Amino acid sequence: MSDVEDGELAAFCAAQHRRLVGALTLYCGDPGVAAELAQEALARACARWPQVRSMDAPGAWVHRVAINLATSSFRRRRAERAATVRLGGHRHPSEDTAELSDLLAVRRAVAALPSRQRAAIVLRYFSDLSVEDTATAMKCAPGTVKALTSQGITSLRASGLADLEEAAHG
Amino acid sequence: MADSLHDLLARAAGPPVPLDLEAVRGRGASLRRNRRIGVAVTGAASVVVAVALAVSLGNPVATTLVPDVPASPQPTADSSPAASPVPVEADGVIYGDITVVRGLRVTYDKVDYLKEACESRTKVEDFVRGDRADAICFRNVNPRLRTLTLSPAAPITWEPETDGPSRITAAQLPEYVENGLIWRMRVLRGVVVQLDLMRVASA
Repeated sequence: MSDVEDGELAAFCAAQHRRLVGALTLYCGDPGVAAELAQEALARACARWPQVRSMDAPGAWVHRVAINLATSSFRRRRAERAATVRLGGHRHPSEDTAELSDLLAVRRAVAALPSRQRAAIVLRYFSDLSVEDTATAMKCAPGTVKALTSQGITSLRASGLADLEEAAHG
Repeated sequence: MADSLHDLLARAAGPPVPLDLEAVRGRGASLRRNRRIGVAVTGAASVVVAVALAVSLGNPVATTLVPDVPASPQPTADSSPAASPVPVEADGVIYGDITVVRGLRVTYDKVDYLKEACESRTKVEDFVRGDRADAICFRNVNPRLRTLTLSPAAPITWEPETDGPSRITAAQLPEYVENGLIWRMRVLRGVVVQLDLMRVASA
């Protein structure tokens, strides 16, 4: 790998890492597992960087890998073990704050969505992927993304989480 | 609450965590290395195994292929313990945690499914500690029992991920193998003729 490619890879990882960890936290509900899976997804990108960098939407690709990893129960289980060891069983400091109940309420509402709706909501409204990139990440048609997003927002609204009028048209 | 969905999700996602770029690079290099080695030796190994299979099954076509096969197998970095053509595993179904794939040679930790009292007893006997003995126990009594050849035509089933494949090829196997996954291997005359990834729920 050339220095240029290596620099691009580092920039790509830096740019995607936070979005991946956040998306995976929302998707699978556990920040420790999310950190492990985000690292694995970026490693997959690293292993295939010459191909990934030439893709139209490398960010969408790495999000797809991440969601697939989270969906795999085997990998999720292994990541949970690794996260338990790495974090020493301690909760994240932010989860000891007064915002804990609100934070968990949002996570619970998102976690209650069916997996495809959850993925669409997270990729569109947390990772800020376009409809087209979300469709690429989920290997489905843009129309399917719109339908899943609409259904997900309806469910979230029914849970009383938020005024989501703005998002429904976003 | 009147927050936008963006704001809600951003807060619920939690604070940023530091990126360990070196760990990412290291894991990426490992994945790249495994894939490269797998691709490099799959072709030659496929021929050797196909001939060996055909010969062992008494297929007359195989005898015509023998002269095309090199007199000795192409050496690989770690082929010495696996070079013997003698079957090293009894026929039947075995379970293993595949640790290395070199072409069509798979090296594995043999696994016994042992539960409850049997599991506890075996853990004590084998000094197994930690989460690896989670309803199953790993036993490696004889190192000769840890390498097998995979038939290039062996059906391989993989736990389907979202939109992922449920079947993979022998050439793809190096990309899918990770330590800690348990595979069921059907062995015939020293060759793995079917390979299935086991689900946790069925362990």
